[in-house]
Amino acid sequence: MSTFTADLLESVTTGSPQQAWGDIADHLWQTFSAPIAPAVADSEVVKRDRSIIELENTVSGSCWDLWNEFESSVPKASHGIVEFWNRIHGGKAVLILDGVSLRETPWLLQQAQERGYTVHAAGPRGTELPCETSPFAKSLGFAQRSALENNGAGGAHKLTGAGTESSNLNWKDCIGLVGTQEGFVFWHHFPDERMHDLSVPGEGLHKLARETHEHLTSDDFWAFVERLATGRRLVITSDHGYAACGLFPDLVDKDQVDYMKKLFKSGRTATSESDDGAWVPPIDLRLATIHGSHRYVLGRRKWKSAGGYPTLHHGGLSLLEVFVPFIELSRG
Amino acid sequence: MLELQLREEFRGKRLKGTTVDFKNQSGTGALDVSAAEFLKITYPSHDLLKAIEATQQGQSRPVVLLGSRGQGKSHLMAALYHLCHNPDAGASWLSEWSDHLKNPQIASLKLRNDCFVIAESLHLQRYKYLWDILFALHPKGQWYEAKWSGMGDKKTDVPSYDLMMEMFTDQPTVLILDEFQTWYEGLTNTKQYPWRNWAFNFIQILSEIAQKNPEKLVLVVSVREGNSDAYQQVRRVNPVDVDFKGPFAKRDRQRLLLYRIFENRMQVPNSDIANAITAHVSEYFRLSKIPPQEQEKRSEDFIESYPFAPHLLKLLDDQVLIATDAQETRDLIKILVDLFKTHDSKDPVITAADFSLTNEKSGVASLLDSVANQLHKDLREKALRNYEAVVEAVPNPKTTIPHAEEIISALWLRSLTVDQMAGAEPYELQIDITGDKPIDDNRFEVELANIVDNSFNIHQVGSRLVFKREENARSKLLAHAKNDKLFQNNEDIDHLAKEIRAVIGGSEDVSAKHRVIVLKKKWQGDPWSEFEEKEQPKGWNDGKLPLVVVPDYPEKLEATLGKWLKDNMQENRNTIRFLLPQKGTGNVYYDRELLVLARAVFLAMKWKATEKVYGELERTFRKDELIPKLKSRFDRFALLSEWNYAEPAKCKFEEAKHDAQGDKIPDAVDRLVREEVFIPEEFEEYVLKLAENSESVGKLLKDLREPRPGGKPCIPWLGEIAVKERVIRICAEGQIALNLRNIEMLQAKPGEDADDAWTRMKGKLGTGKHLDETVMLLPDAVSVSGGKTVVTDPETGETTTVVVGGTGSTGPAVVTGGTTTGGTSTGNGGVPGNLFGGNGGAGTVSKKSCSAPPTSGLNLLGQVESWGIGPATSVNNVALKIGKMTGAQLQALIKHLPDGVTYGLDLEKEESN
Repeated sequence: MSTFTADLLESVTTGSPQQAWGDIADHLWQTFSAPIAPAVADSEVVKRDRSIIELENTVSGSCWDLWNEFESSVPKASHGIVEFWNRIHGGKAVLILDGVSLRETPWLLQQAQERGYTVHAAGPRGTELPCETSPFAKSLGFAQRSALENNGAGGAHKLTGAGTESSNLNWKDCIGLVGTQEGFVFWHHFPDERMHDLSVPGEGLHKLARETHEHLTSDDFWAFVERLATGRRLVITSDHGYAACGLFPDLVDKDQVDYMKKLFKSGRTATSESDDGAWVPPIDLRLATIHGSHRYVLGRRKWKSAGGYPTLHHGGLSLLEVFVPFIELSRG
Repeated sequence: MLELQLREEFRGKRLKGTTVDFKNQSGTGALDVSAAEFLKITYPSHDLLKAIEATQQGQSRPVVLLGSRGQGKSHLMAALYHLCHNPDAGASWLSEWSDHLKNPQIASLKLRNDCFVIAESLHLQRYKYLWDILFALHPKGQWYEAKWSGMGDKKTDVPSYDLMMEMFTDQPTVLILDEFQTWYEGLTNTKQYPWRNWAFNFIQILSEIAQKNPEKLVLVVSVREGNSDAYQQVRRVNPVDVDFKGPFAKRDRQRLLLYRIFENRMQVPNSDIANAITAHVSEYFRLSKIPPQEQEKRSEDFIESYPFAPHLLKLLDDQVLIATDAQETRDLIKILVDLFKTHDSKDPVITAADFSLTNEKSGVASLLDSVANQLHKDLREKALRNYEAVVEAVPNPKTTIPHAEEIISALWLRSLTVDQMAGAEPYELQIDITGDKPIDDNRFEVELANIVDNSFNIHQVGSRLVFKREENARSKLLAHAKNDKLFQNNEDIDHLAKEIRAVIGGSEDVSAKHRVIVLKKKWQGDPWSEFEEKEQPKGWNDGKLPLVVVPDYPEKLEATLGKWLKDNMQENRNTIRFLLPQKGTGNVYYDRELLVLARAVFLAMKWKATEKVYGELERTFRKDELIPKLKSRFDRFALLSEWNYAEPAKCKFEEAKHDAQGDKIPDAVDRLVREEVFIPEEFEEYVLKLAENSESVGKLLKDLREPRPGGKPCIPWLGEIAVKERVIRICAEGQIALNLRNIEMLQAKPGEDADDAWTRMKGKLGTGKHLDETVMLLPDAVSVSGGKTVVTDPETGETTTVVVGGTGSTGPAVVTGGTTTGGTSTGNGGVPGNLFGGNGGAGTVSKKSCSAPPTSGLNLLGQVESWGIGPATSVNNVALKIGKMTGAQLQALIKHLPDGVTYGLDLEKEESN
């Protein structure tokens, strides 16, 4: 099941951070972008999620210092967008699907191909750290996601001249929201919102995978994409991925649980200035990034907390939280 | 019957009474007929001979005949009259009998021939005073009466002793007074009419004369009871008592009876009799277990009492006549004559069975005439009704219960008694109905059981059967239970099914683990139509293990059960366990015996509401009869082992015996399935296969409930609880991980003991929908962190336990823990120092500076507490800062400093100029 190869291990453990993160990104892309048969959509997604456990454990259990270099080693989606915006003259659009992770890549790629789009580039990109919505918005020069609503972003952001919109309406209704500007940025709340809805016990990745599959292969979604791509080159990407915490093992040591509970409650990132954890390998990390100093849950861990730890979440340091797809396409 | 002839008087259709009248108007009284004629019907019983002896010439004494009604007192008195009145005829009669009985003493008896014989039945009230009889009948009576009357004023109320003495001297007399007591007790006795006193006085005179001068007066009186006044006076003179109770009384009476009834009984040769009754007698010996040494005597008894069986006569004598208040011999004669007239002439011997209940002319009628007791009268009606009920209830009564009437008759007769030993042992009844051919013991037993089962009034008391007026609840119950017409709507089938269910599954509330379903009559074609909706498979969702009881062992087991599963179970086909009956026992619902018992229990349950006795019977029938039969009936079980939907006939089943009974069966079957049929490895393999695909426990349960397709061996269904338990076991062994609804991940820790893991995990699997959300996974690699270290503070030398430091600047540190992949620990435990250099990012804090602005001492204490500094917390470089204080305050402060700590002091002293 595992796809963790000796070469990758070698690269992760001994290579330079740039090389290591590059190989990790390639590996993830290979694993997650491969086509999926519709009938087994959800179970295949879960299977893939679990297939990178060893890689993930190696990163969080042995080579956690790599995270210090993440920001500097992995090309970021926000940079990609800005670069795209500056590179393309003429019609261009960016569709940010809030919370889409590498898991959803195959449907986008498959459908794009089937529906006659030309994929110019597709690959993994890093998110901001913490991998939350607001840092991403800030990295693009927006105050926050909601600033994009109804073309309200102003002109101070990095995507010069873009018409902007942010919405949670269904795809059909979103079509009407797309303006006729040459450059357009649409930040849709799907699937992040559903992810948080489904983060209750008993639901989780299976159900979310079924839903995202349904959405991203639907004609409505692609009609919306078509509107965006009409006369524009389009980038589909995301602000952050998410972790299927329901699949994560529980911390069993009581001290560790208490520590995590106190620090992170039921979350994956915290701004607390409290002391560092006392364990090796560490179970959390303090990182200073351009978005400030934060503490992050390291790797695949969850603990019991009041009300139950969310089965789907983002903000911590696990690979599928911090890598998102970046697809550049155009209508042929 | 060896040509026995009844006497003329008994041959008529209507039986004349056998009461002996001394005289009557038609001239047929005992004293009216000739001596020869009367003596012809007289048998010289011991009592008669005793009376003759007491009155014979030269030895006379007063004679008192003591006996209740019908014992033959009058006959004996009449015989005495004739013997004394006609001594010639008497003598010849005596000598004749002397020859018959081969007893020469009889012939040598000397009859009185010098006396005048006066015989009078006092109850006829022909004379006012006792002496009137003497004055009227004595040859010199008138003369002496005149003499007594002529005494004028001196006339006594009662004729005097002398007068009587004179009269009897004149003509010696035999005075025979019948019914003396009846007459005496009827006399008025007042001061004005002291007639009884007079009679008392006179009988005193007579008895004294008879005692002192027996040659002049022979007094013979009859009384019924020895303690009456009438007898007391005679008693004083020491009379000869003839009480019909001597040692030979019984034999005598029997002979007398036979002689009295039959003309030619004396002429039937004993050898012929012996031949005729051989079969009956030998059966009697065999059944009554008579020892050989007694047999000869008993044979003689049979010959003696021919044509009646001695046990019949004994029965009539000892029980029936006493119980019925009959008039002893007199009624006995009537009964026996009736019996003889109506009995089947093929029967060699007449027994109790010849009291035909249905034949009005049999001895029953005459017996009932004499019955005073209403209870016994009722009994006959009941017996008759029972007989009718039996004949009605039993199919083909003529062949199955040919002796029903005889048996019921005999039992009825034997139940007519007042003592405790009423009724009869079965063997006695068999003897009663045995004629010229022995009756097969087994056939008799069956017949009797048939009769007893179907009649309401036959009760079983110990081994005895007895007719009682009250109904035998048990028989009544059984009689109803056997009536098919009462169970047209299959209530009996339903109830039997219920009983089977209760026997195997315990009571309805108890069977928490197993669901026992007893299929009914239409089990093959349309089983569920006979069940309520909630009992149908759709309602089986409570997790119990279904155990389907098949009522019949099918001829082609696998084909039948396979087809059954396909047709009648839409889902959960693999969960069914079939419980089968013993081979060759047939369909349980066609087992008449079981059905009747089930019906009996069913009816008893209904009836007990009104009559308590049925409550007891319900318990007896269920506990003692039905349950033992059902307990062991279902001795094997079958379980689907290979499924073939397209051709159910090709299904394969695992069949085995379970060696358990009753409510132990479900557990035994479960144990065998678990231990012998279930293969854990196959189960594990299946679980691992599902875990590979991250399937849920709900799916596993669903899959296991259905047979595996494609001819793969089925994994026996152990029930949801057992499956879940095994899944957790597999998880505890580290083969799979369980993701509980994404809330918790159950997985064995590296190096964790399986039992410890089991203890940690057990009970965590949910139920219902939660199981669909509980996913089985192959175990994940888990990153494990850990470790604590001992740090010595270089400045203070104090040793503090602090968490692992990442800076490495605080001296030796012990680090444990590491990364664990796939359950194998690859940790770096025991490596001193910092593993990853200075930027590892793990916790490095050993000291934290805290400070508070100037405030009061109390507030400072609160602050210290808020920093988490307890009594055991070590603090370094403590500086207490005081802005301004007096020398006294400083001295007080220093005095209160704790010992064991060294203090430095810096201050600025104000110098006064």
